[in-house]
Amino acid sequence: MVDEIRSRMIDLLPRLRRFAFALTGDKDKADDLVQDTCERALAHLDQWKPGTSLDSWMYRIAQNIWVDHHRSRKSHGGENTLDEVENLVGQDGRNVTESRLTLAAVTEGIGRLPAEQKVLVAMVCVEGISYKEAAGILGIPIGTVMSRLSRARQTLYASLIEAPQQAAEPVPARAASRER
Amino acid sequence: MGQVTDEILMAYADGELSPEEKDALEALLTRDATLRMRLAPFVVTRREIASTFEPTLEEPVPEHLVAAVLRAPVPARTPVAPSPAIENWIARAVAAIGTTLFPHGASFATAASVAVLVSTGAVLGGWLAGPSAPTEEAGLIATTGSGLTASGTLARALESTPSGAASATDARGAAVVPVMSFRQAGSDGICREYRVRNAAGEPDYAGLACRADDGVWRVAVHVETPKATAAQTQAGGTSYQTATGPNAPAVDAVADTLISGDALGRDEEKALLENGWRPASS
Repeated sequence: MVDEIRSRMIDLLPRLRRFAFALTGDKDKADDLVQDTCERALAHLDQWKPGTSLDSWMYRIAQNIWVDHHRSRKSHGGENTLDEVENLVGQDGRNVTESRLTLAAVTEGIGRLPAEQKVLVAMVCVEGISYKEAAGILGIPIGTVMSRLSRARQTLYASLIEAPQQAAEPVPARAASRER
Repeated sequence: MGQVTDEILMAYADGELSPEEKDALEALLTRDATLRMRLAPFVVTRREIASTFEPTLEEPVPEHLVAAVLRAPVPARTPVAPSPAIENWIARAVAAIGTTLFPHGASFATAASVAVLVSTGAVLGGWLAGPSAPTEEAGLIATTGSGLTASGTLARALESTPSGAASATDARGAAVVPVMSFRQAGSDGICREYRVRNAAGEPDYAGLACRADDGVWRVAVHVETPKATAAQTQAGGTSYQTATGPNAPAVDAVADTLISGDALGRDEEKALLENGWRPASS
């Protein structure tokens, strides 16, 4: 029933927006991506197998659209995630809150990751999707999911502990950085 | 457990290890500080990333996204999509509804936005059984020369049941709960939003109807909704204007388009209801 599917998609919108925000690092781009995802999903509804996970199918469509867009943008002169993060921090002038800084540090760190790692961080760390489901969505072996995600997390951790004024639990962070 | 890889440490931080693997690794972690330091990046990134994006879930979803989901076309060959014959029939019904709901010249854009919601099939698709134009649906809605009108239990409930209360259950197991009443923008007409609760196995519906001068309730939208839970089914007697079942965004969207001011208060609704929906004096 199309009604029921539309209703389930509406229920899924908050999670899709969060996923898209993690991928794009920008609220407006995230909403554009979510809208494109829903429209493409409905236009290709005959390709969805009832009884399979609608969530997984929607995440797959979202990441496909994003990867396609990401590729074409890269070939036209690349990323500006850093500028975007600086704008984000700049909005509140000097009165940036701690959570703002963390948000900036995290989105900046994610923004620097290669696309295939970024997708996994957004799926597993942001959306709480299991390794197995992520492997299914992306059509890659679970071992590849784990090795990519592990590399992404090491990189992110390094960028988080280097971020200035990073307030979250500096003690274990410094200990670990000395270790490397 | 031999060599502990980063992947295993990460899987531990993400709760992906089996109970046996988890116990074995925890035994190692308690006595190996280097291992604990190697674990830190995975625990910290998981926690920081999750908490960074958590607030996004609480933000209201922009209306244009909801509208996009409601209006985006579906492929013609999808078995669940309405056939062209049905869509033509809907278009005729919509034309009739449009003139019914906007007799006082509400903007064309407003009327059109309602028509779009209806014509996608998102609104009517739930109860259109087949390509032949239905003349009656479960005794609740009839097609007449002027469009879709409430009949049976639905007509009686809209006419005489206060918002928040449930009508008597009819012979088919359907009960109607009016949710709220409001004045239609651009006229003195009254519209009421309602829910239909059916017996298990039969779909529930949400809809909105407006009362015409001849006392007929014309149905603007009528959509299938997820079944109310047992707890929600008891909600007939809860506070006024409480949503008494699952949300119905399509119905809310139409209500937002039609409403003038706020929903009627309980006393105002009671006075109108007891007076056959005519203003008390004058």
